[in-house]
Amino acid sequence: MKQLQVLLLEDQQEEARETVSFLHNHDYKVTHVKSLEEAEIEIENHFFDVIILDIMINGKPEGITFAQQLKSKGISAPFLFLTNIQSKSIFDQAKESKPFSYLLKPYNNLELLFSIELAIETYYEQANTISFTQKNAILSPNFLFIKKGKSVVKVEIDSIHYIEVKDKYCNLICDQDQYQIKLSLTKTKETLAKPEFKQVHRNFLVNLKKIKEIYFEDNLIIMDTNEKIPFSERYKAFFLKGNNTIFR
Amino acid sequence: MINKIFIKTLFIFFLTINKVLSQVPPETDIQRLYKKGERICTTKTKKTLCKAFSFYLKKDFDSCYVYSNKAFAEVSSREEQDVLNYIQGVSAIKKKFLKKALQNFHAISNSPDFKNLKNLKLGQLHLMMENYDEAISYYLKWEDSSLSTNKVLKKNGYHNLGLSYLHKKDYKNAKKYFDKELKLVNDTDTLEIITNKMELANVYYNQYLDETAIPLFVEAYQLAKSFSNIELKQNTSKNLAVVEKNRENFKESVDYYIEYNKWKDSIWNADKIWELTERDKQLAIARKQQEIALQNEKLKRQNIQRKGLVIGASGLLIFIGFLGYFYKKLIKKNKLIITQREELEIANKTKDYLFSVVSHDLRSPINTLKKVHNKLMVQIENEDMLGMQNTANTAIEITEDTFHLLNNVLHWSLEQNNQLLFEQGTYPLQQLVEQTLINFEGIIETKEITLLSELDNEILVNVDKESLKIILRNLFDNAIKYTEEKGTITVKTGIVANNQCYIEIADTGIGIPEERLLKINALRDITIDKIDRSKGVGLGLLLCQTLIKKNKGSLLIESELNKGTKIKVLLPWVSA
Repeated sequence: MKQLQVLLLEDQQEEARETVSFLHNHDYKVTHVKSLEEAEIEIENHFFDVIILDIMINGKPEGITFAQQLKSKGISAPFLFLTNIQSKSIFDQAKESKPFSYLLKPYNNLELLFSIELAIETYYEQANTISFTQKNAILSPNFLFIKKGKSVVKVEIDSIHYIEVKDKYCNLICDQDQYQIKLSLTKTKETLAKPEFKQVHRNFLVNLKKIKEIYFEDNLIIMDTNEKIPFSERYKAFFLKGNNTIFR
Repeated sequence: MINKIFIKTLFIFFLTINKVLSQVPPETDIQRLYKKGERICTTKTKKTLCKAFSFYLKKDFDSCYVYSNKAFAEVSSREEQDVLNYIQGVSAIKKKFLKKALQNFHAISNSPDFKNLKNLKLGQLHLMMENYDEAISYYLKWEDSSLSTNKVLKKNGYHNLGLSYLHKKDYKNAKKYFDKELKLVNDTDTLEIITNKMELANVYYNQYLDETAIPLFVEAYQLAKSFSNIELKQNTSKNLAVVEKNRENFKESVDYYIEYNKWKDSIWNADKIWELTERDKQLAIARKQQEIALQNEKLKRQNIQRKGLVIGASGLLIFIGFLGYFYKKLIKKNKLIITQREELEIANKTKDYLFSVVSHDLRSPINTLKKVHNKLMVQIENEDMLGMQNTANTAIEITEDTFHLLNNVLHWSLEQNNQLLFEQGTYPLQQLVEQTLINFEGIIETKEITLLSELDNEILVNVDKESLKIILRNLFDNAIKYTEEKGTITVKTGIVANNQCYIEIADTGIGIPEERLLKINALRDITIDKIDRSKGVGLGLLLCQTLIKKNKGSLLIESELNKGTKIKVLLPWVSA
């Protein structure tokens, strides 16, 4: 379980201090920058899971400028705008850089956390998941975003043991817990591009590293946690061909 | 001498050739003419010419004259023209159109077929017109080749030649030709005899052979009396009148003159008539041409008029089109102006409202705040910790209230100017309610209000989240404001049918009097100008109504005085 890396561009010292300390208390690692230049240096050198941009920096809409720079540099990350003004003209300008969420000042703590969740959800196109209920998660190619208390943390993909399809969604069974993701199996397979995840059944995808035993005759896979996964004929041949190094 | 000259003028009379023409000897000029006419009629399709010719043969000279006139339009060959000229010339002579006849005969070609006929007729005409020298010359031309002329024509030719010589007082030649004529005269032909006798008498009389002449005159007169020819009667009577006068038998002379005059009156001056008709014709033609010109002019004018009319009509149409276009534009403009005026009125009322808000609702709390801070200063000086805490709480409370009011004013004005961001999306309802509620934690605690929240955590709502927060903030604010200390506020969310979910905020506050509730419910389409702040329908409620409507939801208020108020907001529900 890892903290989310947050970049905060905010020129108001007092507000920034409050926000940083609040986010810090909620398991976020925040890098605070006060100007466009600082933000540019930070984004070059570090990876951020979420970027929070105050639109008006030193009287100029530099938040929007920064968002446009991100796009032109090809840096892709969920970002959200902080703004004082709920007026269309500024919003229309901001909208052009396609932010993943807005947060209107003055905002309370719940709103801040909620907006971060919304930004992540929108970015990975899995709306109303972690912001909706605790059991939901967001799947990304490298991490799984989950709720821990009121905050969002990320989990390595490797912690997933197997994935079970339930109706429209998928259940992820992980080391400690299990989560639901709002993705179809096809989408899930697309997102999980790693070779250790193999489909063994119409409804199951397993992490090869978490398998304890396989009973071909019994069409059964026993996971490390002793859970039994069905192994269908259809995927057996395919499975063997692709994994003969392990099961010689 | 005088008498002789006088007589000379009397001796003009006219030969009636038509009677003779029917007696046709073979191979004469006239016969050739007939043959030609017949040939033309059988071989060609000159209908008018044929008709004219047939009228000529029938001696219907009037019709012949008219048709030959028309026939000139269709003749092509020289021969046809000659035939036509001849028959028309003859008809003209019959009608006494001497000049016209002269034209016709002159137009005839000098071909051997027509030469004799032409010369004969021209001689006759000139004689009739008293041009004796020319008459003699034409007749002499004819006489040279008179072999092919039939007997009757020959006789007439000799007679007329003699007559011409008589007028020229060349009596020798006159006698010679009269004698030649007499040789050809048939005894039974009264006309010929009378004429001949008269001419001979003239010849003798002019040579003063009165003894021979007078009996001949009388004989001619007696014969003419019993004959039907009027001209003959006239001439013979006149001759006798002159003769009697010369003999100084005046009584007889007068009798003969009277008779002469009687006959003379019955003869028309046909030639004059022809000339008159010709002139009439020319006049008629001129008039016709004038009429045609006039008609043309009229047509032209009509054309111009028509063109003018068309141009005028199209111009009018275009004008009407333009008028319609501008009228439409004007109406549009007017409509625009009216809507603009309405918008302006609303904007003006909004402005007035905002002014009053600023001047009353903002001014007094800020003033209070100043006083509170002054009090705080005093308390700090006195180190009154408890008092300081109370005063600070008051200050926070006032600030909260004012801030809330300011927010409403801001949102209201943005909404009115269509500047409020409005983006509907799907959000978890519970989270939005909690995010709003958290702002009231302090005051709820202060007022020791019990907050019961029964929030369904599985509701997704389709709203613009910021406007929903404004709505909820106002409703919570009201609920808390009107709830006594230690009261209870219950917040509930749930799903109703029709794809709607609800948020219910129930308090145990003072409630709303029925009268006011009715007013609030009645003012569903509430506008800023209907707000009566003294009656308690404030901007907050107005903003709620407007925004809920914009979110496609509805607001229900139930209240019981002194027991509490229950407010329900219905919003579009999205199933997860």
